[in-house]
Amino acid sequence: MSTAPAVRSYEPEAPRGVATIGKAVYIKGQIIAREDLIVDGQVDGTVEAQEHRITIGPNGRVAATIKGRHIIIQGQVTGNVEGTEKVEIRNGAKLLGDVRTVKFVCEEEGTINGSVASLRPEPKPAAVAPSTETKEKAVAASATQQTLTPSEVKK
Amino acid sequence: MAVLDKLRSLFQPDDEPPRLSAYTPPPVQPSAPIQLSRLSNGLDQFFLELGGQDRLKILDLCGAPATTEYLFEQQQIPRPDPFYRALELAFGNGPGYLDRQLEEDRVAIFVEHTLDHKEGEFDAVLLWDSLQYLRPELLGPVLEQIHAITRPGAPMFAIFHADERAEEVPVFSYQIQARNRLFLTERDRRQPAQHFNNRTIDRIFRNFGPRKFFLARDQLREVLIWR
Repeated sequence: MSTAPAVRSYEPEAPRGVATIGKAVYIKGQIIAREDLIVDGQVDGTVEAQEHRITIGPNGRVAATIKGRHIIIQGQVTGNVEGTEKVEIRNGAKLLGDVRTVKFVCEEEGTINGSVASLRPEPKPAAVAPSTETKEKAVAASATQQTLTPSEVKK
Repeated sequence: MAVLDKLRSLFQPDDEPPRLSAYTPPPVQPSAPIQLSRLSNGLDQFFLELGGQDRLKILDLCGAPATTEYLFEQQQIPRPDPFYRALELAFGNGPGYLDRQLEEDRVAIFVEHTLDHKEGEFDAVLLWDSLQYLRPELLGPVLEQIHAITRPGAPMFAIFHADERAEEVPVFSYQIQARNRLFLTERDRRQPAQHFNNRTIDRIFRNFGPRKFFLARDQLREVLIWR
């Protein structure tokens, strides 16, 4: 008895995809991606790809909050950026907004105008105050118009 | 107004590099620009004053990427500020930049649109040598603004060129390499707005707290000021 092999439709598993927003595309609204995302066009709104990499290409002009695992900025972004793994500001990029991430890299010709904070859990807040001893030394130095040499300072 | 538009360009995307009529690209240096790595006792003391605490908000008026990375790795919250760039856009960087600092309208616009942060927001400030290029007419309002946006007791680190006879001084980009080491890259040369000795520095910071001076061999006077 022969049995014909069962015919099964063959659907190759899709390779890990990358969605691309081209440089001639303008999107206004919320983008939620479940794959890596390249934005080389203009986006106003929010961009999220929580488990994936988001790349703002050299032509990208993004006015949006960006959340992703690994965020690479090569174009211009106005908005806050949160990368759960890493945020990179490449040469020629311009970021106007705050960054929160675990690892931060900014190339020499990258520009950031905003604060850069760690995503790690915050410790208990505590006030900073200069040590009394140091302040007293400083007051003394100031009052006498004396220039301290490094060796004197360390005493 | 052109100055206002150009300052605003620092806070919004642009398609072309912002330009101001008074702005001219830095002249080509006849010799290679100075690059040097130097010890900094003032910087060491600055970090000591942070008291080993992390997540302190540190305003950085130079904003070199390497410094931002360094402070972030030290678990601080760096806030690079385009102060030097704003200064060049508002007053130019060629001859005459000091004369333009006498124009009240320019000064008013500059002060209103730079260092625009919340009152008492910062725990520490890296001023670098920014004050060296401000005339008294501009220096006063800028120091008032810095006073307002820092919390009482905040340490501030400043550098002044100590050579009082120099007609022009190098404008450096400052990068922190380690807690007591700086990497300096010359990016321009400029006439200083005024020469600062210890007495002058005491006078301009009279509304702040105590000061501590560090004079290095390379004619850079480092100063730590407490707000």
